[in-house]
Amino acid sequence: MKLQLLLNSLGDSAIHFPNNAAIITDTISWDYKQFWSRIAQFESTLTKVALPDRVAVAVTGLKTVDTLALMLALGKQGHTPLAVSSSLRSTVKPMMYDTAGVYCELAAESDAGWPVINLVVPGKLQTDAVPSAYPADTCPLMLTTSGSTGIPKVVELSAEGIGAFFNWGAEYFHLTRDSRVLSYAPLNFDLSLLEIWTPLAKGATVILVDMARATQADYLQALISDSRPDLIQAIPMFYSILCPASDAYDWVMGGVRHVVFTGDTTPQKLRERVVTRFPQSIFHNVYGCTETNDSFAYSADAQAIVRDERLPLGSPINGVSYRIVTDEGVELDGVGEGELHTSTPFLAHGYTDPKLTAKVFYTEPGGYRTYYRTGDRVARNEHGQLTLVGRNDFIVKVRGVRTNPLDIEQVLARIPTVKNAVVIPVNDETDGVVLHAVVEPTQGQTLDGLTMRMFCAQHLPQTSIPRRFHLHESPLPTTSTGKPDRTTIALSIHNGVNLHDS
Amino acid sequence: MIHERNIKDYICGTLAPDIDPAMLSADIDLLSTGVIDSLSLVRLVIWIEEEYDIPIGDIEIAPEEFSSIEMINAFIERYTISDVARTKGVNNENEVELLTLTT
Repeated sequence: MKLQLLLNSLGDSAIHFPNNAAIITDTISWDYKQFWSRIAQFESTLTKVALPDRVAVAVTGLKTVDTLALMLALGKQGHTPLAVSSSLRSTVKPMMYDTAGVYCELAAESDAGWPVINLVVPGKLQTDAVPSAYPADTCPLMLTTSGSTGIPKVVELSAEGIGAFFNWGAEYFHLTRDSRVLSYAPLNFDLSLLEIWTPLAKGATVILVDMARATQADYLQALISDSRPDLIQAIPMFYSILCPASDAYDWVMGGVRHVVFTGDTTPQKLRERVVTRFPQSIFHNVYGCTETNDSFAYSADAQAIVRDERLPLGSPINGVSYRIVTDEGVELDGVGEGELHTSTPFLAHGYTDPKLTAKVFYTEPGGYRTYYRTGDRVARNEHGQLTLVGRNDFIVKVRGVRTNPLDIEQVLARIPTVKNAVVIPVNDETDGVVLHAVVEPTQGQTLDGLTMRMFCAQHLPQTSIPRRFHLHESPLPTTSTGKPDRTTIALSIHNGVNLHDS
Repeated sequence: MIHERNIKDYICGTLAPDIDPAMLSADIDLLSTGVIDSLSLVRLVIWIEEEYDIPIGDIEIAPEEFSSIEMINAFIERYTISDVARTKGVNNENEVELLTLTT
């Protein structure tokens, strides 16, 4: 992270509050002094990698103290880290790195306590990459978000935006040096800005969830009970695991001050389970995108947060401006539905590809604010309250990851024995969005779920592999324009009509 | 593998009913191929706990231990063997093996 205010703040904490805990893991607590010297150790190890000046460097690996230290060490040396999912396919990486101008990929490790930097993808100067439109110093961090071609888009965050976000997050969630924040999301998620980078910038403590055990209810319950976070932010999947419907153990967490639902719609039944475990907390439904960071927040007590079947988006965060644009392309004034466009103080510069940036970022007519077309469809009622209706495109969130079913259909269509494939997201009360693939085989050919899964696994992120495959022996239903009739196919899945598992 | 059939039946019967059990070999990586996703993994672990009466809450586990039918079988054998040993008061390794074969 190449952000001077964060680096200054970490340095200050190391000098003035050396024994305050910076990061807590299952096994060890790192105080600010130790963490600061770990960053220095990684800085020294980095000299062996011999990076050119001011390059973008992908960082993969587990969310560990060493990975964070490496990202900060890169920043101290003037490089911009790109946080990349460790499950990103090796077939996708070169294409993404080429277009984003990433020099190399590094991963941090520890060998008998000493920092080790692994060169995962060797250095290559991307001469064909489109140069960034922004001075390198104004992009401290790059994150990825799903792209329509199956290659993630690289988002260039802005130094000004991140700084403003730190201040908003600390103020809204009352973060001080005594605060403890649970970090559940992977480092490449924009959620890491509130869970990791904001608390570190404010001298608070980050509690890192061990990703290897992130799906174990017992582990998560014990971790929260032992480490006593003040703030928990997570996608619905986390709460679904933490508060299972069939939990016999009667546990209650009294000390968690803020519980944040984000990343997706949190079903009412799940919220009911969560409030029984956190009866004294303040609950927040926070809406945002990687490109804009958080934009809306709805905050309520335990009673109010379970009242609505669909949670309101709440109020725009201080400094946020929004527009609802109807299907006719005009700004909605009053009650109705349309696509949400937001302008936030935390806005990213854009994508590394300026053509992609031009498609979704625009300056308001006659104004000076830059807006981002979120692709999310919202409704405004007579009280001015906004709720999320769905997407303007096909994108859904699967376990917190933006996923385009059309990408998966394109991959399935590359299997020689597949004639047509349609991927339908189905809302499951417990698991959130579950992907179903309905596949029509080429005449006379056979298909099975395992082969299709293995093919998807080679070309798609894990969250994009459909959970269920259905074989459709007859031609898939189409609309009058010849496109797949998704409504009929979705209904067939729901009713189990004319479909059978392959 | 003692439990292979039972594990396979559960995976292909409940978690991924579109997979033909005959095609699912014991060494296929269930996690990276998406046969089991993170939420299915939670269900699988609960099923193992109930089906084999293994107190998984008291055991340090990692997702890799459930990454294939072979691995799941080994996990179940490891903890059911110690159960057998505990309940029958057996410490000798050979006797444990014998008991496992006969149970």
